[in-house]
Amino acid sequence: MTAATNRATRTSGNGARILLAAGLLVVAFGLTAAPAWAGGTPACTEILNEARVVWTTGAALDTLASGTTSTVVDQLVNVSVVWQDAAPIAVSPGDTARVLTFVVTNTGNGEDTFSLATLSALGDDDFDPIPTGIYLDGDANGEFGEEADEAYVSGTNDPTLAAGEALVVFVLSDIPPGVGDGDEGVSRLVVTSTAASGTPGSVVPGAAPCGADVVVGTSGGTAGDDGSYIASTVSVSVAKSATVADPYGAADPVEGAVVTYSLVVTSAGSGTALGVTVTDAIPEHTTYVPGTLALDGEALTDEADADAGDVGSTTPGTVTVDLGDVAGGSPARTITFDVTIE
Amino acid sequence: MKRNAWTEEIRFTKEGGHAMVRFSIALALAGLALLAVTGIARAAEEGSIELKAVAEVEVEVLREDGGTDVERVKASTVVPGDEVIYTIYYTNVGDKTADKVVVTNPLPGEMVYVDGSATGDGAAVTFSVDGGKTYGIPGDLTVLDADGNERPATADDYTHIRWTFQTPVSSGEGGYVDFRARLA
Repeated sequence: MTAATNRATRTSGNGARILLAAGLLVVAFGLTAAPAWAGGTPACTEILNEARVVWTTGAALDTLASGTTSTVVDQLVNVSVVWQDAAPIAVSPGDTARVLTFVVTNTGNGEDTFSLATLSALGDDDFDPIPTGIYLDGDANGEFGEEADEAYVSGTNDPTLAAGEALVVFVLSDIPPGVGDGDEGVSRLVVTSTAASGTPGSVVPGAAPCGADVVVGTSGGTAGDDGSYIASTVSVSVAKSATVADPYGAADPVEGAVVTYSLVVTSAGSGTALGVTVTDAIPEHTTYVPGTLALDGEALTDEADADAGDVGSTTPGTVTVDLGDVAGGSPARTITFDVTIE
Repeated sequence: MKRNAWTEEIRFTKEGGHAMVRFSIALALAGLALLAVTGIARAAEEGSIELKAVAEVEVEVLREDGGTDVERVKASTVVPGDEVIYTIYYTNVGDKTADKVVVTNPLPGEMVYVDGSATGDGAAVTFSVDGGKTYGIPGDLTVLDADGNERPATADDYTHIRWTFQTPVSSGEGGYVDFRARLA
């Protein structure tokens, strides 16, 4: 990073136009339309101006040109970073190498090289993602691929972007194991021009390729944007109850009494539990009553087949019901079956 | 009359001991070389107007008391968004009064005219939105939008600025006209 000296304050590219630049890179991703503003007239352009006068002193017209004024366009340094994911990335505790996607745009008017860094120890979030790497979208497909994309090493492959050029950058993080449901963790990508950064209006004399000055723009030559992860966990619990009907019209657990077991499966949290299977061994000294297995009041066959449950086929002496994926907070599922006491 | 469409018919005649270069304007092209040559030749001629263009920017400079002053310095370099003040100084260096004086400044392609900025004592200011073919006052100018519909022109559309002097410029008299433009 070059230290920029601050000389007389210069008005440099106004804020409204910089905002349009941010709009432009959104266009690149087809999200919204915005007017084009690509950092302005290219650095090192020579602006020539000449006036002409026409007059008469009698019959004839005379004309003469003024001398030509020449003004060279300095390199104005600006950069923007915009997090691309539409919503916080849903993660589970202990996940590794979870990807946030950013777009870095050179909103200056000349070619520039940028250094990248991540910050995750930020306030206002619930946990700190553990940064594990930054990748440049080497195959320019907008999607992270560890093989196709290029691991970023500061000072080694700092990306060089032409004026107006944009680059997709991926930030990878591990998720700490202890995060709770709904916790949010923020990771910031910070991009800094290697040409100049600091107070807007600061000047590095003669540093542009053509010998013009490099001037720090309204971005200060550095930009950052926050991306976030949201932890989603789920807990599944089962409550088991039994009702007894004895052969004498009472509810005593005597020989020949029928016990109806009820397993109520509930879930909580914002995540989804995948492949939930409920198993329950038939108690000793009881006998399963064939054809009594039911899920939410719908009968299930006792055999292992297309329906969700079986008795003794998957595991001998055991009721097995496959509930599939269970989203946190979804309605309770109720499994019932009868046994007789021997 | 169109810029850059000159036929030169240069006749050197003796008249009061001074060489006189006369242009008869008709068609054809003129090279910058010719203009340069004639420009030099003209300095000592009667009824001659000299033009000098200056490009400046305003900078804030810190005073010792901590306040700031706005100063104009030569616009040797600018950044996009900067405003450049163009001043065109004219002087009648000849012996005779110059009549029907018209100063024209095509806007550099990268610059956008700052609305309302053109001034010129004793001159009517008009603008062109068609590359200098026709001129008008701001409220009268129209351009075609992307759909081919006519719409009122704005300062962004101006291609040329013209100052038409309402009174003759007598020998030895001078002044300036100016305008501001922002670098796109």
